[in-house]
Amino acid sequence: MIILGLDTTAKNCTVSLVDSARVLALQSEPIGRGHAERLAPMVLETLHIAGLSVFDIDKITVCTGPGSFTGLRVALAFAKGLALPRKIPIIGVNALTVWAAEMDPEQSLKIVSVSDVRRGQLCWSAFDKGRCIQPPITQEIDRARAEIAKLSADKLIEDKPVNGAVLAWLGAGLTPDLAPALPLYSRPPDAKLPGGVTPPQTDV
Amino acid sequence: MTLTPQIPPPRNQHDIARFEPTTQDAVILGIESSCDETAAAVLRRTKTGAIHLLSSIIASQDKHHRPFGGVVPEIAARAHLSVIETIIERAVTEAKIEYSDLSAIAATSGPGLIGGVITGLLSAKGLALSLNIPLIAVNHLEGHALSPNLSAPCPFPYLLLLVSGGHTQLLSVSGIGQYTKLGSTVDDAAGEAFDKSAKVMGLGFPGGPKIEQMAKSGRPDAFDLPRPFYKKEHANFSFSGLKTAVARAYERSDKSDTARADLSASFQQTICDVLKDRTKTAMHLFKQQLNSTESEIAPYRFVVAGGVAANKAIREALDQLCQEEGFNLMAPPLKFCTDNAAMIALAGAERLALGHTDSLDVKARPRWPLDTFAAHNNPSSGSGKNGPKS
Repeated sequence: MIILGLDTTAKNCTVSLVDSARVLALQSEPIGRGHAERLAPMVLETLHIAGLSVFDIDKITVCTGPGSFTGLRVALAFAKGLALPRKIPIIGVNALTVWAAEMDPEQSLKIVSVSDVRRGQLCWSAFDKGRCIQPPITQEIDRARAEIAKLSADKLIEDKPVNGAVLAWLGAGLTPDLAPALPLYSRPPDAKLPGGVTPPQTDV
Repeated sequence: MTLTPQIPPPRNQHDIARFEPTTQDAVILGIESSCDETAAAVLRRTKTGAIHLLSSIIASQDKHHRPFGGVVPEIAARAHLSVIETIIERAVTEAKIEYSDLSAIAATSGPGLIGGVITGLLSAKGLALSLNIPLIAVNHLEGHALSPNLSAPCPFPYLLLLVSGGHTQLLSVSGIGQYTKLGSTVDDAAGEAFDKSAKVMGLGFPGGPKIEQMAKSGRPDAFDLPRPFYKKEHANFSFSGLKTAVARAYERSDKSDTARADLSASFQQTICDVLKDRTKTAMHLFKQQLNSTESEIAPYRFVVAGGVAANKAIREALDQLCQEEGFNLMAPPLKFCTDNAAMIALAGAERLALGHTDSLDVKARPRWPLDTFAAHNNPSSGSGKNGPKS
């Protein structure tokens, strides 16, 4: 089974192709901006390096966030278009999970992954022996640090580039029902109702 | 971080067989996501140039934006992403085609709210790559400019008034990709004035239909509102003072239903007067421009497109002007006046027929004037880092 991995949530634009045993090709460029222009050509280049065509892709794993809202939509929207004609399954995996899986391949540790999502907030998630014990949550820095300290984790991972191969492999064992390709927005849209009222959370 | 030793040269363009418009019918999927409608449509352009619309699906986000009294860009972008797949699937299913029947994918790549544009454009890139067919990056305004052709052929040249929530401009259209700006708003769009005026009067969102409804029972001469550039020789518009005047007049009124109705009617009358006056100037400019090149084309054609063209009073005012000035009014049906993907598929089909396709690294552009030359040399509005709007 050939899996395409896509990450546009942060500085790097990353495209990977893996099968169950090997990395067939992996490209990651620290471009900072312009992911919307770079991603599609990069997928073509990566396929070329691996000696594959787009018709060989069996599954897509997309990094869902946290990160730039516009950035994370780039890979998600692209994957949706790519998958539609052949109904290729798309798996969503967040960056916090990728970092933890890369750090703990034996699944023996207690790990906390933390992302600075700006405006004095952290988005974090915790894992114990490969199992998620705290799904991604966004909190004010002090509160987040206090709660993370209580967990006394073996390892603490702070923002780092997403490893495209680990991302793609994480999708191998998952189905779209278990891990749908839904964006992980670290906070609601920045909009106030007339009169400066904060709106209730919506489903969008 | 490349694990393979050899990096190939960048490949922006996938290997696509050349499309021959004279021997093949084109089947185009259009995608639109530049503001608050997510839309997809499938259109067939025969080798003789006949247009058959096979499907046109529009998902409006009104309910998401209504509480805010205007379109919130981040909410719009999120909503586009959450429905885009479903909308594309419905367009393909209702057209009774297979993805493999498609000749090209056309997507709005500007101007508009960038988060939404990126979502639609990236889905289009994914589809084009997946199907190994050309991508056409369409200017949303070109879609509006060509939209009368969705219902009946509208030969070039024609004068176009594009009047919506994001744009208000007058263009001379002489062919695909051939647009000359005659006038444009220097600040707000007319539709924006409708939305903002409705908001200050507490009428709700979107403002156009609400004000039109309220205006029915009001007196159009109750309030005297400003008409900038009235009777001026150029064909530009300005609407920002109008919304401020509405806000002030409403503050001073007793805020009764009668006041709201009177103010709505006066506001609508002012917009009608301004659009009529500015269009009249543009009609004279259009005639002058044609007289130097083509003499015998009367009656002239005038096209009005954009969401504000849905307003009946405005249509009547423009219809009357056309009769006075010797123009035929070609107004696309309402469903093609507001944002839709059929017009994007159409613009894509016409571009494909001319051999214009785009590479997969094409940019989403928040600003993209149709008449780039005039926008560059004689901008109607402030430029900023994204360049002039028109």
